[in-house]
Amino acid sequence: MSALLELHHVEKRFGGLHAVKDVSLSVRAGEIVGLIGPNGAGKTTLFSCIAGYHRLTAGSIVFDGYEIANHPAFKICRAGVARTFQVVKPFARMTVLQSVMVGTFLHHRDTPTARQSALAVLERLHMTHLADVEAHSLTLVLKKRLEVARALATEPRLLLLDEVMAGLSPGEVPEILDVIHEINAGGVTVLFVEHIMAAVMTIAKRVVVLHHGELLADGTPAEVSRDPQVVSAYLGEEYAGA
Amino acid sequence: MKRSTYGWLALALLALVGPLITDNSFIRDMWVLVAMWGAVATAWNLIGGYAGGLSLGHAAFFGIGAYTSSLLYTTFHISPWLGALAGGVLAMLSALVIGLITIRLRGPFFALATLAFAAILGIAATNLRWLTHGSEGMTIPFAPSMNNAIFASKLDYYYIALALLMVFIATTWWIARSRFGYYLVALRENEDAAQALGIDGLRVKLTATLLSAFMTALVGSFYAQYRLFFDPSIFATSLSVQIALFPIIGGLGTVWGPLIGAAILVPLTAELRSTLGSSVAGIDTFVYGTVLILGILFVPNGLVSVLRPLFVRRPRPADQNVQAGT
Repeated sequence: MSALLELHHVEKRFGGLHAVKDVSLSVRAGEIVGLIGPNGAGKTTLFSCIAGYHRLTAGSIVFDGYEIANHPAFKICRAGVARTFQVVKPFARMTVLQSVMVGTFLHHRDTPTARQSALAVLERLHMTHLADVEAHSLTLVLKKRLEVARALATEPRLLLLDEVMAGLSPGEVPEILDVIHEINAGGVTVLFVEHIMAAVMTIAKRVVVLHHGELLADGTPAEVSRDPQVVSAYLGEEYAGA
Repeated sequence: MKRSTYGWLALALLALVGPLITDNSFIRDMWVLVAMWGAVATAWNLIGGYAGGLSLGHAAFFGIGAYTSSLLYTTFHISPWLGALAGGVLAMLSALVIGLITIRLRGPFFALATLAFAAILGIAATNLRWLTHGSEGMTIPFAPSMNNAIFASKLDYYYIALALLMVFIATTWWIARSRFGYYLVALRENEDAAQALGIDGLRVKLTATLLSAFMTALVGSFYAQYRLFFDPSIFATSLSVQIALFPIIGGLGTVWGPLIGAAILVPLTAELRSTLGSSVAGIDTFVYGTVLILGILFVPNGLVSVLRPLFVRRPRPADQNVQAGT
């Protein structure tokens, strides 16, 4: 399989803060890649660079053969990259169905088709019963799921998920893991940031570790969790050899 | 027939024959003004209500419409029907220029920039005497005819204003159900999230602004033909604020809210001025202000939220599936 997304020497500085340092990585079509690292490691910043919310200080980002670095966010979405926001950004006074329709309108111009397509997305995410609920009255957990639904509605080829499991109870994690698996099985490549290590280890075929903005490790979950640098920087002893 | 059907029929009947009930000039003037300001408020609502851009400069587009059709008519004897279209196009061009500069601004900065835009036009209209007659104002000679768009009866004006209003409301109704309308609301609710879903925010909001400017200018031309006199105060901030208040009181981002706001505030202003205006100076605006504050405090979603149950069939189809199981 060829690389769907390639980052070449990506740098991002905010004034004196060097948030992302010389990160190069590639994601092949069909993969599920986990991006982990301690707080402040630059994970969300890297996501925002890919999705067009930050201008790069240096480097290039190639999606499906096309340079997308520093393109406006809406164009990157149209190219086939959809993201969720770690800090949820719901359309507060729209219903769940309407919010998802905003996404499906990208490929379905007329309202009835967009509506049908949005209902199908809601069904995939087990949210059909919430269709007519206004987004502001959802719990945080459901707002996170709505973020996924909206992003999926744009029919992306690459989905960037930013901590969609944070705040879930242990019982709720397997359900969203199933959803991500299904999305991936449907042909969508997934790059996700997550802190719940058990989840990362279960679902990711490959794990990339960021630390102080630098790429620390890149490998299978088993390899990464044995890497002494990763263990000392982030995982702690309990995951050594997991 | 359902209750809602009766409601709509009653409303249509009221709109069509209401002004015929009396030939009292003051009351007929009210009908014209409600339809006219309802139309302007509906135009404003596209950008102010749906897209969430609080424009405090819509008097600019209104004034551009009035001046364009009037100058073309008095100078070149071009029919105001055509002049109104020219005014609409000119308002769109000015909206394009001002929009490209201001639409990136968020919240209060957008409001202030639009306010300044109208103020600049007001100053220009006062000082460009060779063109606008300055503060003497524009007077259109009374020569009633269809071609001159001047009529002897207020009823003719009323039905023209009603036609504009209905076209604007139908346009809004259609937009609210289309992709364009969903995009406007998404941009209002969260611009970053909207961009992430592939929406070109600048382009969508600019389109709404151009449409709103065009509609507003048409009504500006109508106003000039109705009053046959206006001066640079047509660009006043107080007028821009008034235009924004109708939808705010009636219901922002709703199809009928702006008209409801105008239907209540326009007669209220006139009634307060005629009954209280002569007793204590300024008492009418004091009472008016108090009513506005109470309205915003106690009916924050607009009067449309109170009246909606009378007209909207419930439950909606989507709800029926839920209820079928109970």
